[in-house]
Amino acid sequence: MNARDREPGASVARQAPLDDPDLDDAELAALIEAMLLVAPEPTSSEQLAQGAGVPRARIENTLAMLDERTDRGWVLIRNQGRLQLASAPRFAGRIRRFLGLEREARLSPAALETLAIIAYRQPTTRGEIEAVRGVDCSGVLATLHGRGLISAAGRRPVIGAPIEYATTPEFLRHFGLASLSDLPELGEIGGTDAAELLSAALADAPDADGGVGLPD
Amino acid sequence: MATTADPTDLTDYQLRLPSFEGPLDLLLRLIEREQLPIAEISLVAVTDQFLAHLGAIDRAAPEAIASFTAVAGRLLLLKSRALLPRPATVAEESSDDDLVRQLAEYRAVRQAGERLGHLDKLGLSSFSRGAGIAMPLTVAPRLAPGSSAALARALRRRLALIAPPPLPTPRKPVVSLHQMIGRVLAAFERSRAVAFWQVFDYRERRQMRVGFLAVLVLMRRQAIDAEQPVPFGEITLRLLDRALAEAALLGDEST
Repeated sequence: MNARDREPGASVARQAPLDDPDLDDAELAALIEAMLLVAPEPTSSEQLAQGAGVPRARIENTLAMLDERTDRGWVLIRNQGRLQLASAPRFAGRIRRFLGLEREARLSPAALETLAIIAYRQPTTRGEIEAVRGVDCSGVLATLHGRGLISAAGRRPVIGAPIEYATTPEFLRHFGLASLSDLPELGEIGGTDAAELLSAALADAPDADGGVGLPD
Repeated sequence: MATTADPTDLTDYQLRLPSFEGPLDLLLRLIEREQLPIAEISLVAVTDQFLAHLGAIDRAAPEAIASFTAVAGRLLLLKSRALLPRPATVAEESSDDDLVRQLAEYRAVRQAGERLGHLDKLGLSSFSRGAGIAMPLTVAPRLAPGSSAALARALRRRLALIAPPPLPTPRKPVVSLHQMIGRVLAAFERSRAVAFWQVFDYRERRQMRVGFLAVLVLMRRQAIDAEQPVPFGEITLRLLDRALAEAALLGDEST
């Protein structure tokens, strides 16, 4: 029986008493590192809490502490509440060489715009993206999907049930971001917060997929 | 601050805009080129330039033309409002065209895209497990128990199970149509009429099949004639024209 087949933290919860007094903060940080190291897939803080036998709040505090550290070769990546260890962005070149990976082709301006809309306002539909960009985006979406930067996150419960797109953990890794909150600020535009503008634009956009790029 | 661009100055900008994507992209580039703020008056200022670009759009993409034309229509409406004095009663509906807002939104997205593009260019990516394609697979090999002698025996047993390769099939000599026509001709050296069995060996079925074909070819060319008085009886071949028969032998298929 392979330990990897089991959901982490699933069976240990009953055995370990909550808030193990033997674990000080430094030791808990080390334990979290160890758990993330062996976790076969992105792990929730709840799973870490069960594994460590401490309340989730302590896990969150310790994770914040781990985030502060810059002397490590790894970073904590968070996507949709799940954590994963990844190599530090500053080593990208050498890690690529180590893994034998080629650098991928740079993304086109159209792909970057589309990705920006999805990243800042996920989950979002093709209709919403096209309403902002004013052009057909199906080809660009296929490219981004093919590179694993976006994925279908579900379907919006409106007429036509359009697919909702969201960014993937690969998106965070590709751009060297620890989480979506690390995205660059949208900035101010004409005295209005650009993020607000974008939200307003997307709120006005037609819900159904395949909507034309322009309202009216 | 320049609030209007000279609409007659069409030759200047047409050459310089890089390829643009979609009407909003074009409109924004035109405004930025003129260093105008995103406002209704700026849109009016670049309307003529925008229209000039409409002619350059690839005719093979009707969707693109449609979206450009839709924006052009809204621009023209703005321009006509700017040119004509407005009655006060309709002022409220024209106060904020959402083309202005849409453009501002688009610019926000474009700037966000540019920032992502900067990150993309830096290439400071993270990698997690399973990212590598060149790393060897981590599946542990399952080694057979026992010594190398046992392995050698196992290999021999395995090899014994492999079926021997099939014996090579003896190749039968090829009987060509050309050969058989030659044989018919040779038979006619002795007499003008020969029996089929005199020319071909009945025991050699392949030879006979090709020989029969040779006879048909020669008959078609009217070089020989054949007669079979009774069904399944002997076929008698008669030479009609030696020259035609020899032409058939040379493989002249034109006749």
